[in-house]
Amino acid sequence: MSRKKILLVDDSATTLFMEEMLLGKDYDLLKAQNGHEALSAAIDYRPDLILLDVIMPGMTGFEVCRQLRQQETTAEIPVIMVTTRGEAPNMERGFTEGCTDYLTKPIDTLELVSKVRSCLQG
Amino acid sequence: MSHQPTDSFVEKVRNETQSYIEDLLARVGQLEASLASCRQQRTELEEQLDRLAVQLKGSERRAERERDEKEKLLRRVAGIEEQNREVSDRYAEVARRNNDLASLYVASYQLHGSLERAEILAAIREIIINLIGSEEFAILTRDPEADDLELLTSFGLDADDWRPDPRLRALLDEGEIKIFDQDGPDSLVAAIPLVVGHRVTGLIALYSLLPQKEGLLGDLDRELCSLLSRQAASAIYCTRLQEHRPAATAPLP
Repeated sequence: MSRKKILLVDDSATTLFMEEMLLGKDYDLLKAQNGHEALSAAIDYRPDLILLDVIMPGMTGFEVCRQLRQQETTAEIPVIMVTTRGEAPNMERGFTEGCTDYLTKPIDTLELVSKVRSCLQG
Repeated sequence: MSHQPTDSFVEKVRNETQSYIEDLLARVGQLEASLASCRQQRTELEEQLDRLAVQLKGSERRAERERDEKEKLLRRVAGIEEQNREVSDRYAEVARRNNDLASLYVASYQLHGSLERAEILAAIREIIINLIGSEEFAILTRDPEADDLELLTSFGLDADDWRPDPRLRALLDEGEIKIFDQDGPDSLVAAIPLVVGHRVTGLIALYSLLPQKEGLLGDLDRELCSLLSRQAASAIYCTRLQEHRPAATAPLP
């Protein structure tokens, strides 16, 4: 059985490296460091899941999520938003823009692995 | 005088009496037979009762053995469940520790990934924001000539207005990581000296944590602070070497 593909989107090389360490053994990973790269990668590679940072220069994760939901080819891809902004209004906005789940930084590594597994099984 | 009616009466009485006696004797015989039969039955019932008592004792012993066996099995099951819980707890602890080590590895890797100051400072910023969870901090270097602190970079603070608190200088001289509760000076959460060898070359001051941290630095955060104290200091020092003596940090042929 082919492995699931996860698109990692973050402008922080440290976060991308951490996510790669935690998930690289079990999944095929693609990386993007801004919103535009993320949208291109999502359309071209049709990942099974997207881990999406919210605060990025240029296009924010909220905007990326909205555009993903507007396109037929990417509308159904589950999105987990990963952000330092853990306040309720931000989480609410994430869900309004169409994210599937939410993780706050610093990332709880066990929680990340658990949510990724849950989204890919669902 | 005639005695015939009297004789016949007596005869009659005698016959009836005899008949009666015979009936009684027959009845007695029946009763004796019945009594014998009852005694026989009683003996048989007593024997049966004895046998049943023996069987009952055997069943009770068996039941007791099975109760003991059940108790042993229940204790064994409880023991195995306890072992499972311990293994499960241990697994969770090991998984948590593995993930903590992954964070430390990532931080260390990033700090040794470049000799360019801007990149190293960016790596330190990312470690503090994404791995520790602070969005207000300052990285200071010690100016040896002025023996004062100089701001290298900051995040979440107004760099133009920010001035090092005199208490930071005192913390600099102590050379040890200080973690404050929420009542630290100027809402300082932690002061991390940057140490190369035995020299304190600077300091990282954390001023606040992200809301989801609830104002607390955990064990992993303290380990990351300890890592930054040494490895961030070395990384910054190497960038200085790179700037001043590029040949010293050139790749070996």
